[in-house]
Amino acid sequence: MMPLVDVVGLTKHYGPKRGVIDLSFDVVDGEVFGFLGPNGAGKTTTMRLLMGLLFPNSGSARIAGLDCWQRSVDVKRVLGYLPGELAFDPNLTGGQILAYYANLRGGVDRAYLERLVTRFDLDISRRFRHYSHGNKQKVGLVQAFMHRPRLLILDEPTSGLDPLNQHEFAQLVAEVRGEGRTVFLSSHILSEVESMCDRVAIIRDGRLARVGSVAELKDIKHHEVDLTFTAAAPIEAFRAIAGVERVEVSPDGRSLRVTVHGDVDPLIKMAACYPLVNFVSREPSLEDVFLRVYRDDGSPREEPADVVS
Amino acid sequence: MWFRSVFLKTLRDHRVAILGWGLGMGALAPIVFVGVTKVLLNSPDATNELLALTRNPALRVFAEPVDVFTPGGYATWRLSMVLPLVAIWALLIVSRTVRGEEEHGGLDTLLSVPRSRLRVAMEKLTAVAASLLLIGLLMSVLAFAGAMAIGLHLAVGRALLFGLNTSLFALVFGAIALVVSQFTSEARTAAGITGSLLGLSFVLTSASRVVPGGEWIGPLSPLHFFERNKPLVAGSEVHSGPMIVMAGLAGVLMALGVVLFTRRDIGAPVALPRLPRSERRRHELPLRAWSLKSVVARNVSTAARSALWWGVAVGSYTMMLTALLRQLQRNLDDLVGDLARSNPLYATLIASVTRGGNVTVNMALLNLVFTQLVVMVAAFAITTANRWASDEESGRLELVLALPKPRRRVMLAHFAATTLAVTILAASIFAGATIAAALVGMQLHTSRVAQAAIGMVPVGLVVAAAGYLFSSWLQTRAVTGTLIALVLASFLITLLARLFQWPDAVLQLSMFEHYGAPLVDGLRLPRVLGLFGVAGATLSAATVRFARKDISG
Repeated sequence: MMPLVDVVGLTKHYGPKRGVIDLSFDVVDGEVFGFLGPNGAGKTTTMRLLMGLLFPNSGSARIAGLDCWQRSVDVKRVLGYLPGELAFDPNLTGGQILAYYANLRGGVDRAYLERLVTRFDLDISRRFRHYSHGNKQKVGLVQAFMHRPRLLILDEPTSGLDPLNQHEFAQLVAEVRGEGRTVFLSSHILSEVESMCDRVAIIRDGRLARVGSVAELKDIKHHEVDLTFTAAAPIEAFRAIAGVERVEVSPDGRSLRVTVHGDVDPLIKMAACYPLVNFVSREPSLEDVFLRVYRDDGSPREEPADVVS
Repeated sequence: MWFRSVFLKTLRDHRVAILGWGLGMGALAPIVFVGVTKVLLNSPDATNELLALTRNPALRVFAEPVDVFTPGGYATWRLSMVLPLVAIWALLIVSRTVRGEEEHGGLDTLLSVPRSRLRVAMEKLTAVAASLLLIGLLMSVLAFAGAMAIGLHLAVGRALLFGLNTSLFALVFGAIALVVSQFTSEARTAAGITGSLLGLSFVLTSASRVVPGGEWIGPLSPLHFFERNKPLVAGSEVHSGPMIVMAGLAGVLMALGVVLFTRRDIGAPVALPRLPRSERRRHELPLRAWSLKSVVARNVSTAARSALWWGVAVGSYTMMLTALLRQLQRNLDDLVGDLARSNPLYATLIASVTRGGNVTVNMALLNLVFTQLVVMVAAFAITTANRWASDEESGRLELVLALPKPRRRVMLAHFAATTLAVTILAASIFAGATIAAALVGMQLHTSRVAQAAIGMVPVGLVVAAAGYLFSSWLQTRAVTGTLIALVLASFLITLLARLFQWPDAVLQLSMFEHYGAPLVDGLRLPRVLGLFGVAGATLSAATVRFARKDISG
């Protein structure tokens, strides 16, 4: 089956400055795809390339089989878009802005639009200039969802939303997915991505560092194991275990925090050789995966660190 | 160094404008000095033309010719309508520096640092004043250098006074903009209102010269105080009083503006009593509102509103100047009455140019007003191009371009609205001139006035289209600056090229030359069509470029 979004070797430079480099990934119909990366990593550039707002230096981006630059008008018929920096005419009210974009889009179900306004508890009588950041974001979200697009491209959609509206947004995304529509979103809130997205791409310095399902990314077998012994344990013995990346030792030498990549069985067997009073093992969250990608580029350290806490 | 204080940072922000306005305006005096000595005073043709100009009574409406056969006198006379335009920069920058930063949220961050509002405002305004003084200084230096180049004795003190006089005048309008911007939500509105007051200042000064017993009107206008000193005119008296008045006025208005600024909500205008609005309607989705039906309708709604304000201002200006011209004729009629008793032949000669019933003469007089009005239409076109550039720069185009509409169509929709707005402005000029003429009993060729108004439309479109094209590469401020330079250069070519016998090719570069004098000669269709052609070609280039460029965001 042809992917809905198909990005191959996409590269964009801003003069001498890096935008994104050689991105390749795809998004299939009906999935929620998360795009993670810190500020300046290239998330917004990628989304604006998909929207046909930027011209790629090389590579291609296709949506529904159509080139995002050459066929941008047709591409945008299937899209709803929320930009990272929302800007409307500051003198229009929220209602006027929504009416304007509903008219420009055409075919917007008024009842559905009003329902969205109610769900986000948006006061449409105020001028855009007088909205708080969160309320501006609500206007942007409603205009992105109101025509029930096949694909939603949302740049930091929960930015500025309060927890109640974040929850409402998550429900809306779930409904969209339930209807077989697709969402491509970027976010800094990793727990949110973890709970909402089927697959995630992590972008680092303009390059794609990881792509996979949330489960796959979390399955990169990194475990953090806390061990507490009755007496100081032999650190070198633990460092020598295959797969151990890092050993942190408490000042009294009795507690170790061991980071393991891969199988934890040798570690548990080694720990069992000493009088153990406490044992805690943690699965990595998506946040751990993300931080690891950014700290370590995802590859195991050659020299295990020795950090005294 | 430049980021150590609000003052230095603001001054740094103005560095390009200081150089641009200082060198641009400053270059005018040396250009005129050199032209006057090389051509005007050495060529009988040019001297005769100048003589004819000074005898034209309509020119008194705009400026008092004093000692015009000397380089300093001629420069003072011809530049008296141009130098005060530094006030445009002052009013724009003050509006942007305070209200503009509030609009974009930048002031919130600035005021989060442990500095009082008063201090922040004072540092910003001091930087504006310092920038104006630097612009004045550059003008002084260039005027002094120009005088030296032609061997003219211009004392350093007089050269400095020349710049200082201009700076103080501009500062007054900066201060007015500060006060006005305390009552508006947008910097653009404050700048528009203050710009209208600048226009009114010109009218009041003209009225004080023309209306019998109207000397009392002069002091109502800051321009009156600017014109009291003519430092470039050798031997003219130096008046410190008018300069003290301008400095005092600027100081008082600045203080008022700062007091209002420190006592109001940031991001909101000074609270005034307002009529209650219908809340019920505001809570409904206005899906059927005509202005929200399409990109064209939305742009037309925005542009038409702005054009109507400009139309009211420029139309009123046209009416007032037309009325002043008629008043000038009446003054000369009185003179004819006196002269008839002593020299009947001379009286007949003057009477031929003063009777309101002489349509040809009236059209010639009004033509001088229209040469200014066409520049105003060009200025309006700059604001529309500025809006397009700022829409893209601020990201307001992003969501429109996320719609399934070709970029070309979005730009053309905006330009269509601009065309309508320019046409509204031209129509208001036509209405202003014809209504005022009817009211004051001045006969005009209505069809010629209509032709002159129609001829302004392509001039506005050329400027707007150039702005759309420039915005493909330049930021909003640079687009505005480039267009202002383009219009000023064009205006100066028309103003000076013939007198200084510049090559015809230079003259043809001026769009105002192609506009011509339609009140006198009628509309020159090939030239007008040529302007439409230039506008069309420039717009085509702009759409092609826009369709292929990265949208800034």
